[in-house]
Amino acid sequence: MIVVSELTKEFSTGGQTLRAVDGLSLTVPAGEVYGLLGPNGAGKTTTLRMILGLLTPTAGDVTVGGERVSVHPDKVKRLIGLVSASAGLYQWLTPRETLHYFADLYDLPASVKTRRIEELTRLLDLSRFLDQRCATLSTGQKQRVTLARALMHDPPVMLLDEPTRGLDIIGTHVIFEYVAQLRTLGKAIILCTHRLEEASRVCDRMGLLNRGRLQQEGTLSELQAAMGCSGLHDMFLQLLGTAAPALGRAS
Amino acid sequence: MSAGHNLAAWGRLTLKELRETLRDRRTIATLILMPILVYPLLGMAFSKFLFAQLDQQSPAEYQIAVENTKDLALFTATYSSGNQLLGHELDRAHPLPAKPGEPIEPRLQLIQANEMKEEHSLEEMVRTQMADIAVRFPAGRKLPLSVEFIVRKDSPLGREVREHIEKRFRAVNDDFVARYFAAQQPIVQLPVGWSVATVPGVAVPAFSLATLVPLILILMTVTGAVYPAIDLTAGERERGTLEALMAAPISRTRVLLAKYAAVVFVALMTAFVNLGAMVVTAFSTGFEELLFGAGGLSPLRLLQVLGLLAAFAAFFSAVILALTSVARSFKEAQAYLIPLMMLSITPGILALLPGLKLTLGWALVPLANMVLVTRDLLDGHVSSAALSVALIANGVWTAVALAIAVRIFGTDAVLYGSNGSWRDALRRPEEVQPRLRWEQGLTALVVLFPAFIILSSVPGRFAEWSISARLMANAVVLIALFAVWPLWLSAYGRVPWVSAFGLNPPSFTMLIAAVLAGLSLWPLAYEIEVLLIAPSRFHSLVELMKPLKEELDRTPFALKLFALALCPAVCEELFFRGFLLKAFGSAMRPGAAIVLTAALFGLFHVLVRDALLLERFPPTAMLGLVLGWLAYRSGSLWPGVLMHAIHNTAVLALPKLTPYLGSWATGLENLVHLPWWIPVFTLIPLSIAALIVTRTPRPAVQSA
Repeated sequence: MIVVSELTKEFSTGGQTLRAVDGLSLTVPAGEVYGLLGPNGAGKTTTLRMILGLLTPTAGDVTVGGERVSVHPDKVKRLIGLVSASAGLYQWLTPRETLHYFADLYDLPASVKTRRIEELTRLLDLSRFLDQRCATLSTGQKQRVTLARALMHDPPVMLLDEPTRGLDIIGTHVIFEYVAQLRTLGKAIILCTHRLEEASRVCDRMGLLNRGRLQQEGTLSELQAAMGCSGLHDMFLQLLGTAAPALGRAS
Repeated sequence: MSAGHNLAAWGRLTLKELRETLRDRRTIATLILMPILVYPLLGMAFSKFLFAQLDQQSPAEYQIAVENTKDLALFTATYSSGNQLLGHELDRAHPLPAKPGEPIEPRLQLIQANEMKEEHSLEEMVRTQMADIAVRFPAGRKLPLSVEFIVRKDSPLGREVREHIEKRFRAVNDDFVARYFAAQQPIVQLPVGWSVATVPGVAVPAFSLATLVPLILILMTVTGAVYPAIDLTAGERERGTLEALMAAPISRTRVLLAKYAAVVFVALMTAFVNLGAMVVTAFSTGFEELLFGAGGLSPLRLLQVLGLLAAFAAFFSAVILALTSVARSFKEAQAYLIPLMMLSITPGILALLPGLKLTLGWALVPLANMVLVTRDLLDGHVSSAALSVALIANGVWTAVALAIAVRIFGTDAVLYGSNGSWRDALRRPEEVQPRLRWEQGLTALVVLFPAFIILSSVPGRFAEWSISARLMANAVVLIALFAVWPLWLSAYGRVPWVSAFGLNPPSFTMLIAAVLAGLSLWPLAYEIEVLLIAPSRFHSLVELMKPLKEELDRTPFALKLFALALCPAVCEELFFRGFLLKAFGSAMRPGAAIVLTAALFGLFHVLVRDALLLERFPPTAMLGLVLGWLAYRSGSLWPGVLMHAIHNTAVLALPKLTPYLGSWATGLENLVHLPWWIPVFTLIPLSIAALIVTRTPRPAVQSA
């Protein structure tokens, strides 16, 4: 469903060139949750933005559902739902108005729009605050609205960028439950997260990204075998070239 | 997809933007509360100011003009009767000063028109402020007395004097009525009847309040557009909603047009509320004639003013959106808008100048055109041609601003652009850089612009210096600012001068094209400039430049050639077609970079010491376009330098050729335009140059 080939992105700042993503290649078939894991600044978010066509790659290309992002960006956008921790909501609108607005952006017919809002309200349990202004919602409720917004056009591909940032344990659990549910619906999902334990539970395969390069890729057991570590946490630290401090291990 | 479907979808998008904007209390505060509070306060302050002014000037003396002795006698008799009835004494010849404690009574200065040294009509006397009011008795002594008051339009003092006299005449009528009632006789006709005729006050231009009204309305309309424009663009980015919006398969144009419609709607609402508040305040304070002209504000005129405000709201909303689309936060957007607001006030203030007419040139200037059209509309003498040109120009400017906004809104640079400080942008790189960056171009401009204004006026301040010394000082300023400064900047940025300025060797054909263009462009530039100058201004400019020309005629030609032709050619080309074109070329298409640098080139030529010669903009910007195109096509700075130098030399040598030209075309010295065959003839070499530049392939390696 998602094919990323030799993707590279360079940024120029203050006369310096920074390579944020460096020749990244990966494939995610339908019904798979792919965990893109890495420290801050590893290039995860930049990769997602290039997959979505929001950033133009310096080299390489992405194909989603058989469509190349560089050729048909709008077709690709129709196939993708984005949930990002940095994405906000319109404070003066209610979740219902937000969903209506995004349905209009995706040009959904009125009948589909109403049906989808009903389905998503049920799926994500939005009914209690559907007509409340978004500014008054809790972080968890906001994240559910963001998820509903991304699912409004029922995309076959989901890009989740730190979807649990700022959420408590229950909120995080709920979101990962939904992610698992989305897999059963046959969606191809790329999940960028720092919650390594949850990621190891929900992701079918994982890619460890550092300084824009994909260092390791595979299922949890494949990664364990390749890196000689049992937990993702240790793999992570090994990847960064840092000895695992006791406190870090405990956390 | 059908047009109806598209329109409905756009309508829904607009509705969301409006919903989001109008639910915000801050919008409502700007929209409704501000006008409701501001105008009554302004009205109160204004009436206090006006009465204070009148108190200072009016009670001392009213100047009343009459035609002849007969009318003087009639007026004095009627006025004094009324005055006596009101309990006042009239002392026409030797008015007594008011006694302490008594109400101040104005003294009358009666002027007889037929006794003046020069003959003046009553209308003329009022128009030129020789009298505050004129009183005419068209039917002579015939009863009932028929009186005509002649007052200057929009003159508060004239109105006050008229009311003062009317009060006395009314007293005469009231006394007449009372006596008839007492005698139980039927009243056939009142003894005194009067009418009012107005004359325009154009002969002595004065500040008119009606001029201030459009500026206030326009500025208030702008305030309505500012907040929603920031919120719907920079606010989207700051809240993190812009990314989700850009992730949707919808064109940026459609999203931006929905935002634009919402901003225009709010601006229009603001205009409507402002106009309403102003009208109510004007009527309640009694200033409607002063503010809205002689006829007050009729419903039709109100609609016309609203229409103009709508046109202006459409333009300004587009400009603000273009600017706020660049911003990545509220703070940044506000920082961009403050200079814009200051800039917008300038043409608005210019339009307040007494005697300034809405010419074709002014009709093209954004903001000023709307202020002038609204002013003329309130004055009741707007020309339909000027109105049409102003509206078309406004439409074109709106389209340009919207196109820019669409190009910018939601781009990578805005979505994920660096939040780094200026220090990052100005940090010296460790390695050699292949090309200049746009930030370096902007830095160069930011320093150069004020430095140019200050330094270029310095040599002119030393009148005791010889013209040669002043020319040399000018050349030094030019070299320091336009050559040394960009050369240093590129060296600091570790960009080799060859790539920073395009110092590559040019092709021979391009040099030929440069020579041809340099020799043949001056008639075109001259004609453009002359066409844009009113004949009166042309002659006053000639007069103004005469002393300088005489001084220049005595200066050695070699010095003039260096200071006025070669030095500007090299320095200006280094800066505009070298440094700026390359820097801006790194962030935009070559065409856009050429247009931008040409506009800046034109702008710098408008600033001449402490004067603004606006008519120099079109010809110099045109030269800038040609030079930019030449630099781009040739991939080298040198053809431009050559062309510029030849052009300057040709302009410099022209006065020397005038006597010879005079023998070919009789009386050339007195002509404003060149003989038709000169520009036509120069089109031939110009076309050849254009052909060469178009046909010569661009060098493969271009650094910009």
